[in-house]
Amino acid sequence: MRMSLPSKLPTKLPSKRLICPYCYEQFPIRDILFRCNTRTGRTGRRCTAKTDGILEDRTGNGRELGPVFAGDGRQTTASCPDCTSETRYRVCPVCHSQLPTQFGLVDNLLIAMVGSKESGKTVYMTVLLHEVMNRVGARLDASLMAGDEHTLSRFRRNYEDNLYTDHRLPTATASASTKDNRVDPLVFRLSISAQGPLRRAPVHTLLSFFDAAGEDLTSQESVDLNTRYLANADGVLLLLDPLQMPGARLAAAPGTRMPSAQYDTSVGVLTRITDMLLSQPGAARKGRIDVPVAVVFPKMDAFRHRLRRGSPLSVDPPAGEKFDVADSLDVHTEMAGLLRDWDGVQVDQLMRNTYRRYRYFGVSALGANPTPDAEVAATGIQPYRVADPFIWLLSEFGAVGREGSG
Amino acid sequence: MTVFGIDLGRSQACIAWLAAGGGPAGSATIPPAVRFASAQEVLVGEPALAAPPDGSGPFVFSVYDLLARSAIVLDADVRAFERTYSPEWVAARVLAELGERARAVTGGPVRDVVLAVPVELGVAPIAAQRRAAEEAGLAVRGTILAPIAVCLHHEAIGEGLGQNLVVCIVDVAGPQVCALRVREYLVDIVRVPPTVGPLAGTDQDVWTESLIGAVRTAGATVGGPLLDDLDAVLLAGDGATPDLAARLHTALGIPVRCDAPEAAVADGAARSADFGFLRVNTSGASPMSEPRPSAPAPRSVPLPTAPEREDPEPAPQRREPARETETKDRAHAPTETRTQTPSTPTADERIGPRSQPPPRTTPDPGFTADPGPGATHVPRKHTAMPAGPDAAHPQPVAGLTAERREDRALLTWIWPPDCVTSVVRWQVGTGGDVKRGEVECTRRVYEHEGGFQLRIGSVEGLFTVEALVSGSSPEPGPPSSFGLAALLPAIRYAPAVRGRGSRRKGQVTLTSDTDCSFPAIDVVLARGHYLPRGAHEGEIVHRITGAHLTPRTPLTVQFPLPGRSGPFWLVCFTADPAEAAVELLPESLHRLKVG
Repeated sequence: MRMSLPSKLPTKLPSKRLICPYCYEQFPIRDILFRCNTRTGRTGRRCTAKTDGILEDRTGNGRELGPVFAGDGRQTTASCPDCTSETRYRVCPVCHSQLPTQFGLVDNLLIAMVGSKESGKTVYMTVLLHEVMNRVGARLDASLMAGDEHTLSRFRRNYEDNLYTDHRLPTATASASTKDNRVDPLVFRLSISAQGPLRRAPVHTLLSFFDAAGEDLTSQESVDLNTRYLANADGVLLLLDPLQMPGARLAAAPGTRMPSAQYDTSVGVLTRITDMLLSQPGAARKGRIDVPVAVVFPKMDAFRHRLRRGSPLSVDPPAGEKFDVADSLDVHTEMAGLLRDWDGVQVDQLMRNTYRRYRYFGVSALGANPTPDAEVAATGIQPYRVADPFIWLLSEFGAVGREGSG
Repeated sequence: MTVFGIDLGRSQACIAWLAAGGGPAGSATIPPAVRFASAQEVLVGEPALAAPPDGSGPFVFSVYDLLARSAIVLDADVRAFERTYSPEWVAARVLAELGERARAVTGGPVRDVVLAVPVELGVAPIAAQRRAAEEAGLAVRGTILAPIAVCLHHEAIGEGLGQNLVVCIVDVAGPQVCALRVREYLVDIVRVPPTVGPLAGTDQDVWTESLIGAVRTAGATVGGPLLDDLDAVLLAGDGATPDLAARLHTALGIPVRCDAPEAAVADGAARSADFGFLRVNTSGASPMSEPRPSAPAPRSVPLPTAPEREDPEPAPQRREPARETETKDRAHAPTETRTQTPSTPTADERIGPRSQPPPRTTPDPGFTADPGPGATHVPRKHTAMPAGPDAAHPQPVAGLTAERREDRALLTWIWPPDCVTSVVRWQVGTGGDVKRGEVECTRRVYEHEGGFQLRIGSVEGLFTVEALVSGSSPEPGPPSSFGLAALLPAIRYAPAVRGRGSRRKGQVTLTSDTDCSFPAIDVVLARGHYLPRGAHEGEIVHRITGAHLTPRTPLTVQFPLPGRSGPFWLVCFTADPAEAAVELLPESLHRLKVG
């Protein structure tokens, strides 16, 4: 069967300013630096590995590494001026983090994940990435792999094993303020097989997931800690915990684990993020913010008993390899109705009047209420519609094709 | 630990037990009748029948029929003295009385029971029987098909036995006749359509001749036209008598066994507790073409049609290919009942939702498995463990829940430690359109796919899961079961606006996948950002009168629209929700906004 191309193919960005997937700082491609691989060069000389002060300062990585030197950032290799060894290690000119292999040559999408404290951002991100690596990946004919060794080991050790092997919920994400205003994004490379004019070919996209601590969104000052990350994000996954909405708490299934009441409401978080985005030059077009925002309502398993028959939230999403527009709009309509029932009209009005591209999603990362001991339910993890927001964002960027119309 | 067999029949309820602890085997029988004598008194059994019929309270002649009715009608509750009693509660009085009778004789506690159920009984009535037993404080360790119980009572199933039999259970509603082909631990049941009515009101000789004819017909399906290969006829039920046995023997010329017929079914159910694995095929197909094997051996039998399995990658290991209308049953080794409370099932997700007793796990109605080639079932007898440490045997799973996702069911359960494979069986549909099947589900697949999904459509379903654990354990456990009720027929509607300006008209198209009638429908126009929740949030612009809808024949209705511009919601609601026997579902939620 002949398939149509995605509506918008990823474009190369050689002439555009790039954004580092680790520190979210902007720079032109020419400014990309190289790091010596500390192997013996043709002249017999060899550079000494030592701690990179900038890297340590910006990321906390104090490992001994080869020296950083300038070269033609448009090239993928460069020779060290001291030892003449040819290196492929390209590093960010700002934070000195080693850049992913195809950085600058393929699309680079930065996805920020924000939401109030205890809204389940880390759990959601872990399950989302796990699903994209497995079931959803198979559905989209896509593969998701870690963009660097650090992400590979960190995602497996701190996220995936924690949840899927030990069945433990993650502890609260550390605030950026406690880490010298540093965050550790997870960088992945997504390869999607897309049908071109003649053949199917993989389209690669670098994804940087930045998981903001909910604590950092409880006041305008704390939101400012993440300004750089949010302002430079290509898309935002905004998690609004329905259990932090007064109307929804009453409607939740008995026995649902409630977040602490002391935390901020969803409206407060949304307001502060919106203010921050609006303050960025060029962020708003025709008065509305242009960055696509997937408004994700997690923990929907707590409300499944109240869904009427025929609700799009009571069925699994279509299993096609494209983003199903009609299904997504159905979910959006359903969630808007639920927002009204949950006293969330304010959220809806704010989104409607401030954002040009937004969509509501109802998901459940775990599929069941966790235990009081902060462990996954004994029946395991049954993710529900977790990938919908992510696929919508990819479709907004043109990385995934669309099926149907609204 | 004594396991009691219970036969809750139409005209009698019987409990039987085997000899244990120095005590003899025995049985007790009572009429399954309940009479509400006053607001404080309920008569059960003989007193209920003997009481004068002039009392003001209701009288239930047979709780069996009451439970069967509860599966068909929405409100089968019994109302007495301004209180409402669920059918399970009423039936539980009979079962509790049976337990008391047994306790009085044996002197020990009566807790673990095996229920015998007719072959034809549907999923829901069996579930109701099981709930009733639990309401009576009994722990249902399993269910067994009544003809199989009769065979066990007569010791017609066992090692090295290969027989062709006809089982005839005679009660007040008439005889239930079926043919069985017994091959050691595999039994084919050939159901015979009932042709003989109740004896009451019929001439005894005529009735007996009819029964002889029915037995001959059934026997021919397994024993050949001349009944050359028919080994015996087994009689059971309170209507079976030595005279009847003698006449059958005379007419057919084959042995007819009629030992303690009134307690045969219950006794067989009690025996099943110690029997071990038994595979039962209730396909109903005539096995005449298949010769009797010289030595009993497992056969390769096609499995029933399986509902479509979702996301087959990585696909669970299917045990055998599928075939419609064929059923595999297993008289599983019953032990302690698993009682799970579903997390938060909605009312329509429960089988026979009742105010009392609370929804519980539904029973295994005699699901059976034919493992087929390469399967892991190991036939056992007298709870002997499988030979060798690597043999797999079933363990119960906990927390089994089935959640309906429109036409699919998502099954989740708690895996026992060290278990990597479970057997999932299902029985979906009712009446003659029941489909059964089974697959093995590995833990890796379960975790990978977030549970186990099956496409079951809108019909009711019963799901049973048992875990296979390598190695030995002191006692194998029963499967855990969970039932989902059928969905109401759905009518889907799609609104649209046709024409422009003053000629603008609204249009609603109704479609259905099933043949159904729908009540009057109000088409509501509403403005605003949010989908209206009811007719009160908009303006009724048209009423579609109730009509009949056939599959694949859409019904399109057009009506004038108020002359206002701008997008608006056009939503359908049943005019009288109380009368709705169908559900109105939009084709697409966001397309309800038109104009």
